[in-house]
Amino acid sequence: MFALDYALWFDFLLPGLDKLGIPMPLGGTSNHFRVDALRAIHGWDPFNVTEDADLGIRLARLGLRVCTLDSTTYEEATNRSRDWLRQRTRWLKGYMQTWLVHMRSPRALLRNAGVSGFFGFQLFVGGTVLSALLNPLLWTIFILSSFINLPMVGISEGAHSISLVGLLAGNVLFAYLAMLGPYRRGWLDLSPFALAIPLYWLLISAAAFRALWQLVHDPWRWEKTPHGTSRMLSENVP
Amino acid sequence: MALGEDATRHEPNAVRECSVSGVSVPPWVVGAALLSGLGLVLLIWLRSARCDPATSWLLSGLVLAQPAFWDFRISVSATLLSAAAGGVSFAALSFLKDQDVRRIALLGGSLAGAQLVSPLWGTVTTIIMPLALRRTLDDRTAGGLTGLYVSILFIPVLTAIGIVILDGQFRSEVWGLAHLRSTQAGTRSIVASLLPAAPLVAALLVRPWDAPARIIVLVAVALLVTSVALDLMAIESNSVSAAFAVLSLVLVVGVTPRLLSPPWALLLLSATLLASWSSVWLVRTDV
Repeated sequence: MFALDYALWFDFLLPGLDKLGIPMPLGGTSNHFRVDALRAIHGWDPFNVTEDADLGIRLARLGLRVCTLDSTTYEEATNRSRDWLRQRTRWLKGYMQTWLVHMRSPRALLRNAGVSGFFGFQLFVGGTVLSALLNPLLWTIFILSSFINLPMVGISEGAHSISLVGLLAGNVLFAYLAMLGPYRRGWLDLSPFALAIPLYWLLISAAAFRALWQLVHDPWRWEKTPHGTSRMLSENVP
Repeated sequence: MALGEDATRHEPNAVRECSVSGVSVPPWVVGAALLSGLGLVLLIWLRSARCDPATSWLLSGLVLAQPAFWDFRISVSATLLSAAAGGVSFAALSFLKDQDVRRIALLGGSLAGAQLVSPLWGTVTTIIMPLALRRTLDDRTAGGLTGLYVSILFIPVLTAIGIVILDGQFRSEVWGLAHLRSTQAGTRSIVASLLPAAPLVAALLVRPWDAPARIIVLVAVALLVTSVALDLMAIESNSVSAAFAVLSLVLVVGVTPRLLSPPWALLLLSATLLASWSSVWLVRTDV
């Protein structure tokens, strides 16, 4: 699932943002900067746990262009669910911080990033967080409305249809994009795993709520992702 | 949930009119407009495939002269069906050239669209399309092939599930097929239904067909089989007539990647046209 996630993000979404000129929330695996550009934006934000995502937005606000290069840096995926949850929690908390920081002055963001940049930022940064938080709510409404009469509990009947449309549209689109994501790499054998996207998205939602909790109670906690665990595990296997 | 009229469900004496904002539009106007649009698309398609003007006009004319397009009670559905069949054929042929993301999405989308236009034919085509593509994808691993099929079939399968849940008429058609009993005992009717396929069968026997040809033939066979089956339930031959109109268009699609040489295409379409009108005459004189 991680490979599908990354293939979709790095092979489709980021090049798409590049082509549309929308501010790009950077990922930290491989980034190359001109030093003068870094100095102009005063470097990384030490209070943002996804400092690279924030950096991409600040570079765009300064009028600098962030592009994707046709090269690949392979990264070890977390192979333990505990590590995956912590890593995803940090990413989502960082996105929340990034959104809150840049939306302190929406007019300034609109002025700096332009209309497409402003709405792109809402969609790819804010939307990522919002969709993860709303997903369990839509599932709850849909499941409840299948068994009980919603108006009796104060929820309108339209909620069933809205939740169904939202779930179908979101999950189908996400699954389909994840299915097509690995094509550029020739990893077609991974495509069928995209059918598990609804479950994966629920895990992302769990991380989102954990992130929301940490944002309020422990905003600068950095849960470092352990690396090299695949090698350690494979070495220990007799 | 079928788009427009369903040619396979036809009441012969009904005169349908299209209404927009309470103003009735005569069916012949709608039919003529669609026919003109279809003719224009065919011409542009053939010219862009570097077919000479005279052949392009001739081929387009042979398709548009099919009887289904001139029966304005069913011409709307026949045109939609033609567009769907043409779209599926084009998408499949394009997919054969290269299996990239756009072509995969195009093929899946065209199969889903086919189901919206004609649920039964669309479903049958969706099922057999992977079989038609199988031999050309032999060089892939089992895992890669599975991934490819899942990607192609994802949207069509979801569409089929949606249609089954939402479309009561489709459910009754499938039920009727499962308990198929011919209500037209006459040999003449059966001959009339299958006559227009004769030129295509003859062509199959005369020349070998490669992968693109198999695609065209399978799309056409799915259409014919479902049309004949639905006709046996519906006591009407008009859907078969529509099927051959569509078949003609599909054959034209086969011209564009030089699957069929223009003289072959002209011969095949002329023979199919003659057979289609003969079929209509047979049915009318049988009533």
